[in-house]
Amino acid sequence: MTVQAEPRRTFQILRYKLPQWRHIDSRELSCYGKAVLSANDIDSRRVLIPVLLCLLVLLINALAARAMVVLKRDFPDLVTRSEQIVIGTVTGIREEQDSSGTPYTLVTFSDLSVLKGEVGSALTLRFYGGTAGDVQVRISDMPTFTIGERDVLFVAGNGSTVCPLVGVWQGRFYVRFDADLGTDIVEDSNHQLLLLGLNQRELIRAPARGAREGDAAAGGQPPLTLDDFRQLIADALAQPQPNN
Amino acid sequence: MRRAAAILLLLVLSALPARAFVCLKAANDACLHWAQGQANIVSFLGGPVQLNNGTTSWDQNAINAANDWNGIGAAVHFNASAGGTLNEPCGPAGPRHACPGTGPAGDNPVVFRDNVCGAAFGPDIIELTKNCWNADGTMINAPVFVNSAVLWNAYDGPIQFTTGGQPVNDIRRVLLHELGHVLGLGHPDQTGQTVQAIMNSRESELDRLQTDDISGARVLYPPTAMVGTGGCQVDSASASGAWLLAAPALSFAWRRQRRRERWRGVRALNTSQRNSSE
Repeated sequence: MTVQAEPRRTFQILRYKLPQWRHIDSRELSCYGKAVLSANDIDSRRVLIPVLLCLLVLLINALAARAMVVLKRDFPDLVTRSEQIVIGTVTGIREEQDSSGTPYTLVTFSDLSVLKGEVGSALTLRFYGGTAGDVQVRISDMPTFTIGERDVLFVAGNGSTVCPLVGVWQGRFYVRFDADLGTDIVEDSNHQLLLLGLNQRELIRAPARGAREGDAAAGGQPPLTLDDFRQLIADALAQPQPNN
Repeated sequence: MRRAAAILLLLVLSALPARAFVCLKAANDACLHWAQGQANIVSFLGGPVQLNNGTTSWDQNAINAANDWNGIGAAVHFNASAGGTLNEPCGPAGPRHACPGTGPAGDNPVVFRDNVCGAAFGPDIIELTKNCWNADGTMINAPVFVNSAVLWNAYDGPIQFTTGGQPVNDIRRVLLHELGHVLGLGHPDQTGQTVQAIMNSRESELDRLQTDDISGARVLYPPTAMVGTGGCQVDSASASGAWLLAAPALSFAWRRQRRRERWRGVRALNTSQRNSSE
């Protein structure tokens, strides 16, 4: 499954900003810092070599970053395109086939907190694919769920589309209780930790998959708590909605 | 100077794309695969139509995409063709449908549709592959559905857009991606990896198979373990390298099983060589 490319506007913005997306880690920062500090150094040779090396490395990294061009639903898109936005706990997973034999997986969420749209006390989402006898029919990378997990979901087209989440996996976020912080924090569909705030229209992800809160804090940016995420969504909903 | 060189080495290494291909997995953690090392791909996309890359049919692009995979030296082969009788993939399991919503076993049509057996694509999905497999991960069939409601053409280079700003999707690179799913490859960027790969989940400026894609297919179908007929030419030396590079991305059980197969293959080859030299 491949996700539709965004309209040109977003594409150009993303391409332009790509070099900034790449996380500049502490090694690069120290490298940059050394170059700047060394500008006052008396020995020009000792200055020139590190500066040239740093420039070369940053150039190589920028080139590598360009290869990571992705076109995706940004955060305001998730909010505006969703018909419902809910926080819920998975309490049921079952499979069924429709009259044409097409298998579906039905995932029921309860203990709901509804941030957008109208939803009852529980919400059941229908995902294409499932088990039929001793065979399985699946679409690659359709989101999968586990009983007991808590998610933030940006829902659209439930019951009529292949996947009822905006941007497929992009419209699904994990909620995880962090014992150190004593509160719920939010991860994206790859279990990548989100950090507080927005970078233009994008959610901010921790530098590497599996990065811990302490690492993020060391970088000066705290993790995105569930309350923070609620507020981001509320702020986005309060913005004037574009006419699609 | 030594310190600077060390920094340079570390950062250059950090900038190199990681090898991170992933496979689609069955419940027992085995990678999905074609047991006979080959799969039929029949394009029903049609033509004629003049496309921007100089081809004159959608079908030709499907065949070209299949041949790109055929040319990478993996022990798997697409028998690609166009037209003929379409076995309707949608329908309940039965004589004409090996799995619900797919056609007969081994039947992998590529079709334009505005829905997926009654379910809408939705605004974000431009095409998808339905993989159907047995409990052991052996693929039964994998029809490819191309969303007819979005704009298509065929071209190389950056994604093109209409004057209204809507993307014009390149059928060739998209089918390269889908045929990777047919082989059993997944999306590396969906496992938190950042690599250059046609198998990433989103369209990009990449329009050809990348090193990561090729390595993934070669690990799924190690050249030294080629079986069946109609297979492709293989390169065992480079495949061994790909195997070693890819091993951490795969489950231990699967690695162990495939390694045993490879060792058996090497032993058989050594025995064969000894016999022939004698």
